Amino acid sequence: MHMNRKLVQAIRRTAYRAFEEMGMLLPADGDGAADTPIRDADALAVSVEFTGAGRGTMALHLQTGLAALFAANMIGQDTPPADQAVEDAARELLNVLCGNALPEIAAGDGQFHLAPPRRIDAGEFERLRRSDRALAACRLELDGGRSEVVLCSSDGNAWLKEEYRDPGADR
Amino acid sequence: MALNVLVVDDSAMMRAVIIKTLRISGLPIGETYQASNGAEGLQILKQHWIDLVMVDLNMPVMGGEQMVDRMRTVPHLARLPVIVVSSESSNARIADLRSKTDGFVHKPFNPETVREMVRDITGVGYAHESETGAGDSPDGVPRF
Repeated sequence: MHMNRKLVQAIRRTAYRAFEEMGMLLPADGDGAADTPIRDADALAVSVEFTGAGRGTMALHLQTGLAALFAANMIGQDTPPADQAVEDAARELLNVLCGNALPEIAAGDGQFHLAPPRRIDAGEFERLRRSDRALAACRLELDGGRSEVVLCSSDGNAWLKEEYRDPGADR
Repeated sequence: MALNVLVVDDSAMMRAVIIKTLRISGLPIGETYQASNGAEGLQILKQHWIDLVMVDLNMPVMGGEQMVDRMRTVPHLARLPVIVVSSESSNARIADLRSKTDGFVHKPFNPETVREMVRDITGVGYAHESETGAGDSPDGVPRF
């Protein structure tokens, strides 16, 4: 899968900012979590469909511990909230991430409409990640665990800013 | 003078965050009400005295912009302060929203941003604006 490195970096930056400002989670130092599997059986994945300047899907995968920690931090609790609240927090995180990332990477003053985020299973997340429609996928290393973000487009990459389209920027 | 605040967001977590932010802001917050979409929000406005509405945009059933449009057609609600709290990042859309509401808070937000905006819009916390009557219905009944 060839991806524009600048696009991946732009999404990663936005994601880290959302984790930090909503859940007080900072990027992990170094690569200390490198041996941790990115997906576990109880991990949480959510996706959001968008239309407007471009059409597609953004999906977010969170390791179980990270999802619970994020939700607890979001509301300032010491203990993990109930599962439903953890899922709600993940949906809101993706909503914020997508709402911030899309206008930043879209050409012009791209306007988008986001559908309500929904939970997906690990298989669906993996299908999105491996899909031909995937424009970017990035892994995030955070204090509380790992996360992944995938951006898929149904409209190719013509709606992106030029700098994010250039295949020459592949890694 | 305590402000009664209606928070409209389809995320229960985000509603909790906003209410907590208001509670710890040091501002005089009275009753807080919650709705998960614009239609529920309008119902609450019919039933309770509200001084400030904080509303998300993208919600099922009825979005925030539609809710505000409906409010503006009701005489008693037409001038009720509304702050949009959203991750919307399109400058054109934000400008449009600012023209029909009283403020825009971008998600993710920090508590100071919310506090300052609420203070600026409602005037609470400023001595010279203590006569606004915020939180007190003139006749003790809801606006409808």
